[in-house]
Amino acid sequence: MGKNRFTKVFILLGVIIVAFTVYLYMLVSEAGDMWPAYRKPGTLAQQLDALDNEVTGLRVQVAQIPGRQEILEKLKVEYEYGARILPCESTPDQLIAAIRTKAQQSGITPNRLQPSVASGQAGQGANFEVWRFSLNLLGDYDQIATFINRMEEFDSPDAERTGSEKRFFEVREISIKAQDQGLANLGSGSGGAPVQHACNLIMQTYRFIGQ
Amino acid sequence: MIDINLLPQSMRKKESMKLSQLLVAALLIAVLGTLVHFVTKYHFDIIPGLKDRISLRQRERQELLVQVEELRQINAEIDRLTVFVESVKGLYKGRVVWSKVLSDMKAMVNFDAAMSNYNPEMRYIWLNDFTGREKKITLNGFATASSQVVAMQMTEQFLQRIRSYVPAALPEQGEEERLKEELRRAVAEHENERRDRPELPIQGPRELSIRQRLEEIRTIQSGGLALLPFNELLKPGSLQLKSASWTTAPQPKGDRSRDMAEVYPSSAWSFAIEMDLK
Repeated sequence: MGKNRFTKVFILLGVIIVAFTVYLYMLVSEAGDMWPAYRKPGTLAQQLDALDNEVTGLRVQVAQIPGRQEILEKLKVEYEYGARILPCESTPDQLIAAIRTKAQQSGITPNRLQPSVASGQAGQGANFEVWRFSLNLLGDYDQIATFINRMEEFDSPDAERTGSEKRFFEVREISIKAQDQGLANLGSGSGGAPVQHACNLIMQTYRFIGQ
Repeated sequence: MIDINLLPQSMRKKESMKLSQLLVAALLIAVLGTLVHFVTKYHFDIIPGLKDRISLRQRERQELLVQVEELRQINAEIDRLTVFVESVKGLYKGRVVWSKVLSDMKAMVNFDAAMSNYNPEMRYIWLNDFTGREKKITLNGFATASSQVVAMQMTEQFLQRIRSYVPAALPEQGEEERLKEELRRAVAEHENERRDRPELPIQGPRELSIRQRLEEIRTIQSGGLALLPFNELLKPGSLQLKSASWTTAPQPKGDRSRDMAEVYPSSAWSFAIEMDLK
C-alpha cells in the first residue's frame, strides 16, 4: 500500500508540473499568440534593442540641429544680400535710365545702349535670367574707368523704390580704341580737355527666376 | 523465514518514507518552486519592465521624430538657399573687376622708372587699344623715347611691370589701416587725459567714433558677398603674360610729341601684348 501512496504523490506532483508548464505557456504568451513564452522576453529585448539603436540614431541627428540652424542663419544673411544685389525689375529696360544716370555722373554720354535678355543657369543650378547691355561710349580713360567702376559698384539711383542699394554688374567685354593720342593719356586734347576715346562695352547682370 | 504482523491495524507502526523518496519529493518541489518563481518573475517583473522601457523608448522616438522632421526642413532650406548663394558666389568668382584692371593698367603705363612712381607729365608708353574679353587682355601700343634703344628699354620695363603686377589694395583696406593708426593715437591721447582726470570714461568719444567707423568699413561688401572676405572673390588676383612682340615703328601720327618735339623725341617701338587674368 505504501508504494501506492508514493506513486500517487509522484503522479500528483507530475500533474502539477504539467499544469504549471501549461500555465507557463498560457499565462505568459500573448492572447491567441502561440509563441512560446520563454522566447517572449528575448523578442521584447530585441525590440528594445532595435528601438534603442533607432533612438540613438535619431539623437545623433537631432544633435545636428543647433549647428545646422547656425548655418541656416548665416545662409539667410547671404541669401538676403544675394537677393538684394540682383535686379528686382521685371525687364532690363527698367535699368536703362539708371545706367544713363551713371554714365552722366561719370561725365560720358553713351551713344548706344542696347539691352537684351537670355535665360540661363549660373553657378550650381539656380536659374537666372541674363540681362545683357551693349554700350558704345565716348570718354577719356578716367571717365571710362569711373563709369565701369560705378557699374561694378552699382548703387541704384532709385534705391528707395526698389529697396535695392547694390546690384551685381559685370563687364563681359571691353574694347577701348585710342583717339588721336594713346590711352591712359592725362594730357590735354584740343581746348585743354582730356582726349576722348571710343569704348565698346558689354555688361551683364542677372535676375533670379527660381530653381 | 516469514514475518507476520499480527497486531491490529490501528496498533501497527506506521511505515516512514525512505530517504531517497524524500529526496525525490524535495527535488520535485524545488523544481516546481523554481518554475513558479520564473513564471512569476517573467510575468510580473521582466516582461512588464521590458514593456515599460519599450513604451518609454517609443515615446522618446516619437518626440525625436518630430525634431528630425524639423531637421529635415532645416536641411531642405539650407539646400535651397545654398543653391542660390553658391550661384551668386559663382557669379562673383567668375567676374573680372575691369575698373580695377584699368586703374592698375594706368599706373603701369604711366610708371616712370626714373621717379620709381607714377609720372603724369613724362611718359614713354602709349596704348593704341585695350581689349578685354573673358579673362584675357590684348594691348597694342608703342614706346617713345630719345632713341630706339631707350624706347626698347622702356618697352621691356613695361613688360617687366606687367610680369610683376600686384593688384592694388582695396580702398577700404587702406582706410582700415589709416583708421587703426588713428585709433592707436586716440587711445594713447585719451589715456594721457585720464591720468589727470580719472573720472573720464575708459573709452573716449573719438575712440568710440573711430571704432564705429572701423566696424562700418569692415562690413563694406565692396562687391563681395556678406560675411565673405572680398579678396577671395576679387578677380583678377594676378596677370600672366601670355605673349609679347615688339618691333621698331615710326612715330605715330597725332602723338603730342609732334607738338613738343623738344620733350618727346621721335623714336618708337610698337608692341602687341596678350595677358591672362588669374
